[in-house]
Amino acid sequence: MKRFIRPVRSLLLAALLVGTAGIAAQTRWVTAQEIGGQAAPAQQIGEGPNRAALVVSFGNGIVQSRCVAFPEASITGQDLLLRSGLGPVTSPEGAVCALDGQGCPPDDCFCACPFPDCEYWAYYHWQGDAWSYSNVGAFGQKITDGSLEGWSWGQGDFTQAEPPPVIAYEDICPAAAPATATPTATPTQQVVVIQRPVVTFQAGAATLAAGQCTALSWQTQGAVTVLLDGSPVSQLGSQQVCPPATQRYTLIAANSAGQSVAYVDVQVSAPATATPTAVVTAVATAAATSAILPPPTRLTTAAPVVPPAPQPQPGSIQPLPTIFSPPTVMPAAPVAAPVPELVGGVPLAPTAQPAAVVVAAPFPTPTRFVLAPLPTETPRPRRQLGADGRATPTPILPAAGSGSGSAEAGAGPASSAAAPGALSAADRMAQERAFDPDLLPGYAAYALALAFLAGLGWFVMHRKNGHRSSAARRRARAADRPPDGLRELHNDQAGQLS
Amino acid sequence: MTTEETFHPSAWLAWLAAAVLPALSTRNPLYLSLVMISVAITYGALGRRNPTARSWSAFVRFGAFLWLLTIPFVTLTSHHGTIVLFRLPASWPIIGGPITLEAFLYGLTGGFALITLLLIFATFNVAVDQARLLRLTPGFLYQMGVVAGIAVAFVPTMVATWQSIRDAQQVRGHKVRGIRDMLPLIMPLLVTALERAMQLAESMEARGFGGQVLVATPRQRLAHQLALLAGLGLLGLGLAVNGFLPGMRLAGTLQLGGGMALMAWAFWDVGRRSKRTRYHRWPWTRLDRVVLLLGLSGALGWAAIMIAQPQWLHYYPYAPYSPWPVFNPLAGGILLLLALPGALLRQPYEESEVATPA
Repeated sequence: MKRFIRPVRSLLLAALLVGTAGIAAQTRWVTAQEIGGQAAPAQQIGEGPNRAALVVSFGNGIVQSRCVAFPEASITGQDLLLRSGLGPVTSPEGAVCALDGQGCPPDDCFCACPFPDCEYWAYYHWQGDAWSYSNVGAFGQKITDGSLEGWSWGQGDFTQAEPPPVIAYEDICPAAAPATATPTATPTQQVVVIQRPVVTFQAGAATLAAGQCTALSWQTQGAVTVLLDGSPVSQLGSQQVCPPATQRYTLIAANSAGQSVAYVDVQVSAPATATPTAVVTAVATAAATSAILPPPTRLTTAAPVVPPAPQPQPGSIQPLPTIFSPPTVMPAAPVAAPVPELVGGVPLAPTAQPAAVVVAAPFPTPTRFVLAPLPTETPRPRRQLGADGRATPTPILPAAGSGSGSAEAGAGPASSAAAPGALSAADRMAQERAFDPDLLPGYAAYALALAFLAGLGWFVMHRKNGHRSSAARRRARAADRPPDGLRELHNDQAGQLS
Repeated sequence: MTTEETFHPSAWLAWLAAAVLPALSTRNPLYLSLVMISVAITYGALGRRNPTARSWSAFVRFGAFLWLLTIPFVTLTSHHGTIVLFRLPASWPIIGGPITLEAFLYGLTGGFALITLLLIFATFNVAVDQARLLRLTPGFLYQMGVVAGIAVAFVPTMVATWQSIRDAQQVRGHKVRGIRDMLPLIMPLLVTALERAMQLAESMEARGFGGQVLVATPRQRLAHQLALLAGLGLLGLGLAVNGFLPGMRLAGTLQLGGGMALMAWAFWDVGRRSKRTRYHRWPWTRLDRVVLLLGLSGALGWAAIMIAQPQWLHYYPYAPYSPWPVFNPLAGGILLLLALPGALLRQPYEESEVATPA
């Protein structure tokens, strides 16, 4: 090891001298609190003689446009996104994974690109009189004064995709737009209201005999992420299920405005040898009671009464509020009368409760867990991960300005405009990445583990060293002992003397 | 090494699985540090029992050097991240641009995993004799096992030969001042390595290596090839279905299982044609079973965490994730099991320590 020290030391010294000279000459030191990768130049963000227009299409009819001013002669496409306040998330390779919370995590940048449907953020430049698909990424594109750049979330492949809508540069960056003088000036933007997705979820057959199967089919509009019982699925599809017992299936469709939840209950009738017990069917009247099962706690007509959803802890996975109490008697007799149709394909309005008829199950309905959307007032230190360990891209990071939501209703219509007092995308991300006191118990456990290993290491090394010292003592005693011949002579002399 | 100095090779294999899984599955520096310390304790307890241990420590030092080299490389070349420490002029090639904390942490954790793996394999190589490990190779892989055993023994032996050649050249007054002076060291090394390889081949030939394998009929060979081909095809199809068609996971899983079953049958049928006898079996002691249990518990526990709670292991310093790592006590407790074999090792008695009878 010593042989490497001299040349390595020389190299390090040379590199240090060169680097120090260069840094001292031209580098500005920025504090560690800088966020968003935005430099703190002498001019403020959004000021400067050069301007570029940005059009972002989120794929559900929602379009945002920004006019960003910059002092440099040119900036990269990535800088343009950062300065626009859209909070771009990029992969280590430089691909744009998400904009304003819509998209994919950086470690799986093309998570919405399974065969054959591929959705991703496509990059366009305005050239001449039309959008031109970009052959370079955001880092490789140079933006100059008068550039019109576009990003579009939609289906496509790696040579073409859905271009953003045509908007003139002058409509985004008017010629007479004054430069803002506030220290924290934000680029001009158009406000677009984002709606939560519309969901249609239904089962082919609501009642099955034991061992039978049925197909679940769903259709969503405006959704970025669709989960069926926690597993990601496409926005439009179907799935064959064969439930062994009465089971509830949950479909969650989410976008930057929030999420919509739909349920389908598939009832599986028990075999004929089961103990006959009346099956209670939920009726529209609240006074309906059953001799066996408690009355349902929610009506399906008029004003649906939903148990108040528990306030979700940041980062926790909340169980869905149970609609019915668990039945006290397990088996159920075959239903003689035709059971009313269970949940049909009822499209959910953003503020309406599911209008499905839920039948009291003869068996306890397993509790379903769903990722609770987090209120915007208490941003989390890190993004919550889904069942497969990946970060769910959209619903956990609702758009700025959205109201607090419950587990069922979700957030209200979101506004992309920064409401007074609300955090911008960059500030919210900064808060989420700051140190969270919830990590302290884990760090205390880590310290205990280190202490245990330190004690164990001391024991192991002490035992080895103690063994060596005892071996050294044995060798010393063996060296002091006289040879065998002399010992016999001593014994003979001792015997003669006695 | 004798049976009193170490544990059964199968027990060490279980320990290896329990140590390698965390190093390969996470970049969380807290978990990796626990793995490294636990493995280091075991390495310290094993001591210098194996003549090749010194060679492996050189590899670990080389790995540490690479790690220290990786950190500035990633920090200066990756300009991604939101927490900017300082900026270099953009006109500078490669290193020009913002230098971020996330890039520094990414380089730090990446090299950390690498050196942890090196230390794990160094400890395993010190603990287990290559000859005994070779005898555990399945029948259908006996040729690959021999090659692997030779390769594992070749590298440390080459390092030892390098040391002896360099010592001999230094005695003759040879000094290494540049690359040109390395030639008198490299040529003897190559010649020695080739001679050793020839000697090994001749000794294996003289002992009838490969003669104990029963020849399969053409029909049996065709069945093996078809089974392997179909198994690989089903494995690929299952992976594609699980990856691109999330709604058909059950079908994909069945395909994966069918592919693995076909390949397992093919391997088993090929393996039973390789007749081997074991005249000296390594006896299982109580401590061997304890270490085996610890290793299997650690490996299965970590695998369960990977499947059930993968978010415990996730660490990614770039946005939108937090640069602060998470530590779960259960996962950390599993990693502490890696240090227990070091505490259970019995200390060997040297020949000079045995007292001569009166």
